[in-house]
Amino acid sequence: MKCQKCNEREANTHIQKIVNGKKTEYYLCSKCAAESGELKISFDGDFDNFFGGLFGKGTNLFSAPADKVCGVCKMTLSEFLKHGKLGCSKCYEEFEASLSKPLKQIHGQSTHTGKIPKRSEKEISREAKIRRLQSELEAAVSNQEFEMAAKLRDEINALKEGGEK
Amino acid sequence: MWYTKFGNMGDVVLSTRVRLARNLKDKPFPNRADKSQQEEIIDILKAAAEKIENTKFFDLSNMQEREKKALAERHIISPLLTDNKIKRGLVLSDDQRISVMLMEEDHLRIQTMHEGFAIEECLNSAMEVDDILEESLDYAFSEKLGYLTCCPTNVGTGLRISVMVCLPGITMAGRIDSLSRTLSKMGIAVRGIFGEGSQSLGNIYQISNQVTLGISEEETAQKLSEIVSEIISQERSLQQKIYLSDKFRIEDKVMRSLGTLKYSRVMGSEEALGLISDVRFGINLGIIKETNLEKLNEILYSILPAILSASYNVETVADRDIKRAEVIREKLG
Repeated sequence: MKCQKCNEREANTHIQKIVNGKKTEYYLCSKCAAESGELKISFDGDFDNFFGGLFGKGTNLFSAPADKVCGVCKMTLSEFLKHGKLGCSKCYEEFEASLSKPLKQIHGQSTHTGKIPKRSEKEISREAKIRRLQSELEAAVSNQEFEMAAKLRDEINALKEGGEK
Repeated sequence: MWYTKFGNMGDVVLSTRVRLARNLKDKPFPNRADKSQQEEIIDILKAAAEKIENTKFFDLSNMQEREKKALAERHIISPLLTDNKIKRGLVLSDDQRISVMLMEEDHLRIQTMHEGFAIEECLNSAMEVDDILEESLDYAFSEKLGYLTCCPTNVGTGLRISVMVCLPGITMAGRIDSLSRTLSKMGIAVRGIFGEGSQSLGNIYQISNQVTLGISEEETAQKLSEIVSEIISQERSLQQKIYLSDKFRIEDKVMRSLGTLKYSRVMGSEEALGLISDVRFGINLGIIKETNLEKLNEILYSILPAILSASYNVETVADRDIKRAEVIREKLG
């Protein structure tokens, strides 16, 4: 079917308007539909709200006072819920209660298994190092880099034994 | 420059980019930093990034608007970096394959780029740059959540791998929506040429990972690599199938598109991108032999609006459309 406005392009958008119980329908192409202003879709705006909404859902407003403030950057919880962006690294601790559930929803996981900066290594627990090495081991095995895998396995075992002493 | 080169799997893949999001410990993220903090953070980052060999620093507040937009059209910087609300900087390598964005959404966005399908090369190069930077910077990092980022969707590895592909076959077969839906269930996004919210122009799409927490850099690379390889083989086989199903019409379509590119006097960028995609299709099928994919990449990266304005000093849309047709004619001539 051709677009009812330009009569040139194929119609691929079906618009139904119901005003005071009276229904009107159009079939438009995406260009005319966008120009008609009937479809006001702004992806950027919607994305912000979408993420904000996602974080909002994870919060129980009764248990967490809505305006918790980050001690470092002064970001408030309600501002974060609105925009979905944090103000500083400390916010992750301050708003932890509101973050953990949506993080799991977005990523499906809740614990980092990737790279660790060298400067942080001394403060990092043995478990975290083992997690990191294990994910490297899995990658090495599936790339069939068996020498590397053997080396990683030894490192993991050494770390595990070190902890048992 | 690298972005016009024909790389690995260059019949389908234009380029590969890897970016790492990093922030400094104990400093507010760019969106919360006041003027003096912005200056202070830029100075710290600049001092660290200048240790990367063969690079130059650019203060973006001193750069012309169209120059910045031209860099964004080549994907060397993100659109956010062209915004003037706060002080922003760029450390760019002479070959433009490494771009470290300062004060983007995060303090640092390390980006490495390569022509064609080259996830491993980009990831290795990004990791090298990251290692150099972390020698002198204290990153915001938590044992549980990994690298801490302004947007929680990037937390963990802070890694986004993005492969830019041209998919006329999958698009013509009407399968792009179902591909996006399937991939989104696997944590992979399909976006238009200019990223989030942009429409797909010229059948060009960016395939990128969404998940950054609980998956290592190597696993992310491997997963995306497998998925893109599958997309490449589907695209190739669909191109063949579409051609064989209606040889004369396909030949007619791609030759007409080539003719329009060669002889037009006025051309908008949207139309040009569509025609370039048709001609790519014609070259891949062996119908068009008088030009090649490298030449088309060169045209693509000469005719986008800001690039055209910056290279030929043409400001209005009407003048640009005339200049665009002229540039294409010359390059194909």
